[in-house]
Amino acid sequence: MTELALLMRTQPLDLTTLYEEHARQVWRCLARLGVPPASVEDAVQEVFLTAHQRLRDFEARSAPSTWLIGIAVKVAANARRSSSRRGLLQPVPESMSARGPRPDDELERRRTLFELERVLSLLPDEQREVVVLCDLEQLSAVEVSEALKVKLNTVYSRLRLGRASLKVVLGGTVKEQS
Amino acid sequence: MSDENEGPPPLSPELHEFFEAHAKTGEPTQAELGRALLRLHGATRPTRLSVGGRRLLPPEILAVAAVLVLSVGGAFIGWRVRSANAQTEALSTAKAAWVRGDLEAASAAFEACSTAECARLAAAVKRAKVQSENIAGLDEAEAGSLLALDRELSGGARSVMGDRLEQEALPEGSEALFAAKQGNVMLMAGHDQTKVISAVSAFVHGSAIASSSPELARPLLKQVSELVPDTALARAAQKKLESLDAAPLEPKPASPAPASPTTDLGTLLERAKEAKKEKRYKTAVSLLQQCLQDEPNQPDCVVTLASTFATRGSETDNLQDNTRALSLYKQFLEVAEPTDKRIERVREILKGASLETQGQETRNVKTQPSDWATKRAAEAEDAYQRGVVLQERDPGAARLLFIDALVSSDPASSTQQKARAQLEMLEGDDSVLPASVKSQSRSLYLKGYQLRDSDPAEARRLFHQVIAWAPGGSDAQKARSRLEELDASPGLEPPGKSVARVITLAINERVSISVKDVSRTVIRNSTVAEVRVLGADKLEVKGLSHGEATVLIWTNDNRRMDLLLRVSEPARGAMGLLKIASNPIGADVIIDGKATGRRTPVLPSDPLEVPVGRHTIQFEWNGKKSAIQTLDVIEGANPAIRGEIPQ
Repeated sequence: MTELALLMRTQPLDLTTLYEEHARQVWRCLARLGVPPASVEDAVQEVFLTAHQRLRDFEARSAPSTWLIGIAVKVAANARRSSSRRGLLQPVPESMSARGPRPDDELERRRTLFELERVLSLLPDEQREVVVLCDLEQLSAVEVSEALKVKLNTVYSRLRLGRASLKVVLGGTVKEQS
Repeated sequence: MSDENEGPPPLSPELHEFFEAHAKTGEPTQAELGRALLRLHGATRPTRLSVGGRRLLPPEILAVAAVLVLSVGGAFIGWRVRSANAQTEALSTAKAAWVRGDLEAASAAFEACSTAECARLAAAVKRAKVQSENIAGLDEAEAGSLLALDRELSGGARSVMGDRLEQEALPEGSEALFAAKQGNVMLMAGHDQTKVISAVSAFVHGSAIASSSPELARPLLKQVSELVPDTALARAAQKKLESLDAAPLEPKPASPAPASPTTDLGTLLERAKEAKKEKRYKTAVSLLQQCLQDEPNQPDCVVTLASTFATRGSETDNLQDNTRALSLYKQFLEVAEPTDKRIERVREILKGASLETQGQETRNVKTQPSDWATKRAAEAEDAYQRGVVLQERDPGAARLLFIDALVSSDPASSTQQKARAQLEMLEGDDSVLPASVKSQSRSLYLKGYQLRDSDPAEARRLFHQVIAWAPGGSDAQKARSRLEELDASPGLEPPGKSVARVITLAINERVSISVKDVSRTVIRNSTVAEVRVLGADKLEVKGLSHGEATVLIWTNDNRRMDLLLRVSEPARGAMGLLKIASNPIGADVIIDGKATGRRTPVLPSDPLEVPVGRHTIQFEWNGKKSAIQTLDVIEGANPAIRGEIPQ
C-alpha cells in the first residue's frame, strides 16, 4: 500500500500524524542539505508550520513525504543563504574531521555530520540537493523531480554531474588524508 | 532515445562506500524529535481564546467545559434518539456491517427498517452482494456505481468493499478512483462530509454515463461544482462538462443521414483528430463512431478510431480498448484501398500484436483463453445454482443471479438455457425488478449500439445483458434486432492475451533486464516495485514490498511485452515496530485475525513487534469491531496506526 493510500485512510490528517511519520526524514534532509546543526530544529519547525498552513491546499498529487521534502529543500536553501550571510558556515576545522576514537556519542554524531558537510558543501546547490535526495535519502528520481518541481531528465542530469563532482571531491579528500 | 533518458551511471565503489558510511548521518535523536514536537504544538496552539478583542478563559478550561456539556448533552440526546427512532439505529447497524464487509448483515438490517430510504439501500446492497462475487469482472461504470454506494454507506471511512474495489476493480488512473481519492482528501481537509459524499457520487455517476447519456450526465457534473466549489474534483467535473459540450449529443440511430455526408465526414474526422491530439478521447471516439454510423467501413474513420483506442488503451492499460483497436485495424485491412499507404503500417502493428500472443519469450506465463472460458462457465453455473437456492426466499436476488448466469455463460450452453427458463418464469413479477434496471438497460443498449461496429463481441455481450435485465422492454426488443444483425455479419476474432515474463526478486533487490528498443513503460501496482529505463535496451526493477506488479513495456515498433514482477516475502525474523492508537482507547488489537493481547494505546516506548510483510489490523472494544485495515510493515519502520471503532 502506498504512503498516500495509507494517508487517505488515516483521517483526519493532522500535524501530529505528519510529524510522527515524516519528521525523522525531514530532519535528516535538512541536516544533509547544509542547514547548520544549531538551526536544524528551527528549520524542522519551519517546514511543519508551512505544511500546517498549506494543508488545505494539499491535493495529494504527490505523496505527503515528497511534498514535505519539497518544502524542506526550500527551507534549507533559505537557511543556507541566511547563515552564509551571517557567516555561520565557517570552514570545518580539520581537528573536528580527523579520525580518532571519540567516546562521546554526541561528538561523534557532530563529527560525521561535519565530515559530510565538508564534502557536500563543495558541490553546487542544485547537484547537492539531487545527490542527497537520490543517493542518501534513496528517493526515486520521479519523487525527486516532484519534490524539486523539475523535469525528470534534469534530475538525471544533475545526479550524473553531482556524482562526478563528488567523485572528484572524494578523490581529493583521500589524497589529502593520505 | 537521447542520453538524457538513460539516467545516471551506476555508483562507483568509492561513492557507494561514501553513501554507505553516511547512511545515518544527520539522523535526529528521539529526544530532539520530541522537543521539536512540543515546540510545534506550542506554535500551533492558541494561548488564549478571544472574541471581539475580549479575552476569554484559557482553551484547556473551555475544552473541559465543552467535553462535559457535550457528554451530558450527547448522552441525553442519544437516549432520546435511540428510544424514539429504532429505524435510524437499524440504518447505522447496516452501515457498520457494510464497513466491515458483512453484506449479509447489512442487507438484513436494511430490511428490518421500513423507510423508503432503507428499501432503496436494501436493493442496492443486494445488487452489491451479487457484484461482489466477481469484482474484478466489473466494468468501470459498474465499479463506479458500487464505489458511490460504498462512499454513501461508509461515510467516507475505510471499508472492506472500498478496499476490494480499489485493489481489484478500479484501474489506476480511472475516474472513479480519482474521485474516491479526491473525496478522501477533501474529508481530510475538513469539507462537509455529506457534501463530499454527494459530490463524489455525482461525479462517479456523471462520468460513467457521460458517453451514453450526456444529457443526464450534465446536471450531475454541474452538481459537483456546486457542492464542492474550487476543488480538484469540481475542476475535473467542469473539464468533463466542457468536453461534453464540445461533443455531439448521443447517437440517434433512426435519424436520416446528413444532406452532405462527404463534407460532414471530413469535418467529423478533423474534429476527432483534433480531440485525439488534445487527449479528449471520449469526444474523439464519439465523433468517429458518428462518422462510421453515417458511412460504415469508411477507412479514414476506421483507422483513426483504431488509433484512438490504441492510444487510450496503452495510456490506461485498458485491455478492452486494445482489443477494439486490433479489431478495427483488421477491419481497416479489409476496407482500405489496396494502394493505401497505411496498410503496411497497420500490418506491422497487427504482426506485433500477433507476436505477443505467440509468446516467444522464455519463462513465459500465458493466460489460456480456454482456462478463462472454463472459469467463466463455472462462475455462470455457480450463479445459476445460487439463484435456484434463493428463488423462493428472495426472488429479486435470484433474478440478478440468473441474469449473471445468462451474461456469463456461452449462448449455446445448458446454463444459459436453464437461466433463461428461470428468468422467463420470473418475468412479469415487477416487484422483483430493481428501480434502476430500466435506466441501466437503456444505458447498456446505447453502449452496445455504439460498439456494434468497432467491437461486435462486446456489443453482443451488452445486448444479451439488456435482454436479460428487462426481457419485455423496448430496449430488449431493439437489442434482439441488433443481435440478429450482428449474427448475420461475420465477427472479428478478438486478439489473444499478451505474454508475460516472470521475474522474481526480493525487497530492495534491483534487477537489470535487457529488452530491445524500449519506448516506454507503465507499471501497475507501483507499491510493490518500481521500474527505471536505463537506456534503449535496459531496464532496472526494484522490489519495494511483498506482492506482484506488472510492467507493461512498449518497444519502438509498438509491440508490447508484459513483465510480471514477483517480490518475494522478506527473510524470516525481520520485524517492524508499530505504535497504535484508537478512538476510544482501551481497544484490543487484533493482527491477522488473532488477538495480540495488547490494548491501545500502544506507545512508542513499548511498541508492538510484528513480522515484516502485509498484515491486517482490527480493533475490538466493548464487543464492537473497527474496519479492517491492511498494513505493509517494512523492516525497521515504526509507523503509527490509528483505528476508529463505531460507537
